[in-house]
Amino acid sequence: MASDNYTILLVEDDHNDVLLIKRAFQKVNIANPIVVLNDGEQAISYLAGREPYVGRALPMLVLLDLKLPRKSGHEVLEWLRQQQTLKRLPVVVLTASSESSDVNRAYDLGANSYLVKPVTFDALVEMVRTLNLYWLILNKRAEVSNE
Amino acid sequence: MKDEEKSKEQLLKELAELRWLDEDLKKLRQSEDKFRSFFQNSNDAIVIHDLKGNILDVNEKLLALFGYERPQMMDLSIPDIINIGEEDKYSSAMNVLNDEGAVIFEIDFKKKNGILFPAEVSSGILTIGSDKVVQGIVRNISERKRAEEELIKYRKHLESFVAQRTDQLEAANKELESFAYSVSHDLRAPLRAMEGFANALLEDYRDSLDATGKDYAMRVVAAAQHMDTLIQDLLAYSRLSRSALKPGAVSLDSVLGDVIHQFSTDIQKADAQIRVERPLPDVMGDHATLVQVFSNLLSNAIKFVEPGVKPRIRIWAEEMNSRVRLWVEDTGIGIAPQYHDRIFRIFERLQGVENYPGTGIGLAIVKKGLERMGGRSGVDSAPGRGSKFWVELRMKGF
Repeated sequence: MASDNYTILLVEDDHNDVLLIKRAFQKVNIANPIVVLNDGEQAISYLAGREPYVGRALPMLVLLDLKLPRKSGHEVLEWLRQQQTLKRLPVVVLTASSESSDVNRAYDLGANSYLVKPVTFDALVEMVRTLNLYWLILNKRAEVSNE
Repeated sequence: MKDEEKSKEQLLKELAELRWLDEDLKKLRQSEDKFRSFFQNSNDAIVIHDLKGNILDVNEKLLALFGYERPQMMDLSIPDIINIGEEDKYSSAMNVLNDEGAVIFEIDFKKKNGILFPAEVSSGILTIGSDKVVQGIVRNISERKRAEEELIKYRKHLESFVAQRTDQLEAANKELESFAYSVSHDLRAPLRAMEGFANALLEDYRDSLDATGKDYAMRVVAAAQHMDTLIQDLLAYSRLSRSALKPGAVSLDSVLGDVIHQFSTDIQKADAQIRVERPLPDVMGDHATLVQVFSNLLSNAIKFVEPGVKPRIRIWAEEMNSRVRLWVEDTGIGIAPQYHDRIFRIFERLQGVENYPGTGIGLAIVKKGLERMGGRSGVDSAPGRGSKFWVELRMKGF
């Protein structure tokens, strides 16, 4: 069952950011397993359950960077929103860009939320704390099944 | 005798009639001479031809223009002296002439030596006795045509030049945009790492770091944070310079509402008192830019106070005909008059970062923002007397 999945999919190519985001998750005591993918193509393969991700756990939330190798976050989002039921997956964009063209495009393509990575670690911890409360605890999930 | 007398009388009468006739003839000759001299000496080249185009008379100017001798010219007709292919133009002009009595048309003529020239012909119908003839005034318009062509050439050149420069500018602007994008995205990533891992050192290794070690790590954190503010301010400034503003009616009340909401934490922290004298008028501007402008003015008013002084800030509007001046008055440290222009320049700072942290970009954003909205900004201040910053904009509807 889809709702049994508590995995968080983090699509992020900057290894420092991956470490810091994981550290922030630890600080807030989030126990959800985190799957990290480093480019847009991997993200699509994973979500589609293609090789080498056959039998992967469907995530309950996607944290998506925009500037990624191979396929951008915008492209991943565009692909995701065209899938049968996968399109219901909540996607929170987590990126460095605060350019309005990026923000608007992300919402146009169906992002559920847009967060700009803060420079200070304390601010990142606060952001992750709020993210946990809202998207992982409060938010009611839709049915998402494997296609 | 009677007959003789009669004939004498008759003779005298006839004599008198003859004298009058002679007078008339003289007058006629004079008028003919006058006309001929006018015709011959005219500055315009004139041709007189019949309705079929046969040349009846020409003046010296026309002979000079075409390069013919008079006898040669008198044997020609109009179709002989126009360029091949221009016959239709000529006959349609003659049709107009028939209908309306006058016509002005342009046509290419051919000189005796074969050289072509463009001309403007102004033709009218003259009635001589029962005959109708055409008088045509021929003006060589080569110079005018050349000037016109030159003008068209220049215009085309100018158009292509402008198009080329526009392309270059657009390309430069695109490059600048992608540069700014990469600054916002890529340059900040290392800062997050510096700040984040220096913080991790302070937390995870606090037992093994001595006071100096901790101080160093804290300096890394502070420097990274300062660099981030610098990048963000620079980005805001460059965005202001390159993005197109859409000026419209903006409520200053709602702008100030947004700004004060945005600063609520800083206002509380500094225990600042802010008095906005509402209602503020509506102005012509761009909401987002005005929020940026007043964010910088308000943050300065909160920041630049003597240590221990609680900032008191008053914001009010002064209406001046079609314009509005908005004042932000503070109880801060004030600015000496010789620096009043300088502080609006980018990267200019009067205070050390130790006492008053900042990037030196805030007031440059204020100035640039106002310029982009067709407004002005300035300050009225002296050390120890606080500062009154003002921005001036067009009132809504003006």
